[in-house]
Amino acid sequence: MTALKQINPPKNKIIALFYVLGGGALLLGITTGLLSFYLGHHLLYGVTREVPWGLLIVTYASFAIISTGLCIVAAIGHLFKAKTLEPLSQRALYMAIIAILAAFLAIGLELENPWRMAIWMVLSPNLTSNIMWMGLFYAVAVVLMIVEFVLGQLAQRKAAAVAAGLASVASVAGLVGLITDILANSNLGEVFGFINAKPYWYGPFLSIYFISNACLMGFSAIVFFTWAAYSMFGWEMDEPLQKALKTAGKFIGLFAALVLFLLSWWIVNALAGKVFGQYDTAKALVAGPYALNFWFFEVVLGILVPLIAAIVYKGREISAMAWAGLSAMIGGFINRYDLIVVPQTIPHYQQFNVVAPAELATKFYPYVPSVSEFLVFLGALGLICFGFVAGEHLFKGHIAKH
Amino acid sequence: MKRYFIFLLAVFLGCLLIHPPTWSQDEEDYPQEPIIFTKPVKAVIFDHKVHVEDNGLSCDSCHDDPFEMEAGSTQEKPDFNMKALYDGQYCGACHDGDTAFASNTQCARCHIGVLGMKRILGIKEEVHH
Amino acid sequence: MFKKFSQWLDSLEDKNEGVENLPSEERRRFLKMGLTITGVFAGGTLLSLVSKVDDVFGSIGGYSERYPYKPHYAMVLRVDRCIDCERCMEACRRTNHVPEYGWRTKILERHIPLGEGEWYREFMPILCNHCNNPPCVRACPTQATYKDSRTGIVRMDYRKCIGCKTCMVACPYDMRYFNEEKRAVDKCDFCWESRLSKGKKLTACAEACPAGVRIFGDLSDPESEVFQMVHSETRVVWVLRPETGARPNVFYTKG
Repeated sequence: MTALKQINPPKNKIIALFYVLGGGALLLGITTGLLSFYLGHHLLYGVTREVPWGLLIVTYASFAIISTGLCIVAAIGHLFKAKTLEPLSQRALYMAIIAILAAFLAIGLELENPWRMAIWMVLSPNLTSNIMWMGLFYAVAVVLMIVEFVLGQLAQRKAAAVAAGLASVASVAGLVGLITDILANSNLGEVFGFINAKPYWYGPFLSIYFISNACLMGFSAIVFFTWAAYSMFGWEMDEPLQKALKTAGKFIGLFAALVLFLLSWWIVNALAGKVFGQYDTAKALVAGPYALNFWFFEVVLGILVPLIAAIVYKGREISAMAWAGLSAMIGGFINRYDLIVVPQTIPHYQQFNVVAPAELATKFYPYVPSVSEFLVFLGALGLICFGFVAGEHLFKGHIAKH
Repeated sequence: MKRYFIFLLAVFLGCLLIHPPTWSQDEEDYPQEPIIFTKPVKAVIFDHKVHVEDNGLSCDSCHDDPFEMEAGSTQEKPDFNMKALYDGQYCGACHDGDTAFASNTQCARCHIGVLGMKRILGIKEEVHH
Repeated sequence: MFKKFSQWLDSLEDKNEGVENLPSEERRRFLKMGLTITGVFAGGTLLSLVSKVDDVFGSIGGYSERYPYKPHYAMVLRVDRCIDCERCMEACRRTNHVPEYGWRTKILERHIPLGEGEWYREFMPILCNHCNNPPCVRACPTQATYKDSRTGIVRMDYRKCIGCKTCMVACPYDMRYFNEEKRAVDKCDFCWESRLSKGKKLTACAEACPAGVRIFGDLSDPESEVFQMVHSETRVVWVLRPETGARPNVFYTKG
């Protein structure tokens, strides 16, 4: 039986801040989202005919990718019995659920008619649609993750004989959940990868890129949230947990390197190939209106900071790796933003020397997130913050009692 | 006396600002702005400058036959259409393929359309989401 | 199979042999003489009299031999005749009750360079291409947009639309918008609901055009004007963004 040892007084003010700001943002976001249904999305959201996917789809994709990553981290410890990483599994599973719920919140408030989804995805599903499969797999995955989590909690409260049975059912749920989650994530990649209208997306690359990013996000998130929990609540990290975090820190570096590798070839390929749409997107990123996003957020914060931190500290400096993980998540979010928004801003008829009408003859279609979109994004982020501290309270540091 | 002179000069210059001097146009006094026909379809451009300066036409080349002097009067005529042009009336008097390019070619050279009209008149296109 | 592959490779070679590639010197000479570029083509003095239909579609596999729908609705747009009077747009708006903030068809103004700061103007009407391989239909999660199995028209079942807007992103031609009143994505349906299903033969835009730009008809009928234009030996015909593999049923030509 492991128990948490209090070595510092809990930072109650920060914890309260997470509850208040997180909960407040969540309520504000939901209110804004519901208001936008009532008044009409076209009035409150900044998306347009030409750029129909904006900040909220970015939020959805980002949090869904983080969720998949956390699900993978949890599975490595739980299912594949990698003892080193096992101390991270319980929290990773919990946060994976919270992250996917935040993603669902964002897309639920983004879809114009989410209620029709419940009816027509069942009565008239389109088997060739990635959106359909992604929705189905993520819905199944979240149910299975919750089942796994609940059974795991129950197992801790039962006698050994019953607990073993529950744990094995939880493992099955976990394994199937992991597979559906990865299928969901690859379908999310192919939602973009299948769109031949946007050559920057088109191809099988996006699903590879998304799953690689999911791994980076998963390890970054678990190191950050574990460290944040222990320093906020003033608990002592025991030896196995420290070892787990140090190993996870090395994985952050590994996957940052992988993402750097993928992103570099993507950009080089697009710049050199000069294919319509690919070239224009890459140019807008490296030397255009999105250069700051690209170089500072995507490359420096998203990749170089975690990569260099992992090399310098060899992943061993837990607090440094936690901040590096946060940096990777922020950079990763901007990476999703650029990935989703910029290819849409390349005009459809750009090859045709169009001079009018103005809205189709621009160099880039404009898109700026509206205040409402930003508030809904904050709401989803608030759900993660609130869910995180609530989880630490409810499940007492996600410590498995054996 | 000197003050009075300066005052006069100022008034004179002020008048110049309001109304540009007409004598700079010589005897070739023609509208500087292009004329835009909106009937029977929107919109066709006619630029005096191109026809006078680049092609050396004089007023009486076209006025009063085939075009009356009064701007906009032609487009009120019921037979002002492409068929008439093909029959050698109006623009078709010259735009017959011999004197100038034929009326049934290069449509978008004169037909600037609604988009072209809005651009010249400075009407902002509304951008909708 | 290898023969087909080599044909395909060949077709890639001269895929873009369109008017844009005429030497600008010659182009200008002809313009100065008061001839249209189309006239040059029709006269056959510059290019050989070979239809480019097979080139356009040859690059993405045999297309022009078979038309799976009956009637197989298609439109041919004679771009050099378009004068942007926008009567088509007005007729479309009126006929299909298109709201102020949306559009189903539009006219683009192109300035096609002739070199040395010179250009000529061309108006290019755009509308839904009613693709044979519509990217929007593949992407829709609920089959709210679908390819009508009889006519080939890409239509909407408004009540099924969840508003995910994937079809709007997937369309290479920007032909879809979200209709707030219908709470669904809306688009051109070749006037199926407003006209064709009620026995009329033409779309509102084709009927309204004073310049004969929009030729509408049944591509599966060899007697139809669209069939004959698309299959003419002397006519250059192209589609927009063929590289997407969408295989449009809206064709462009001149003259």
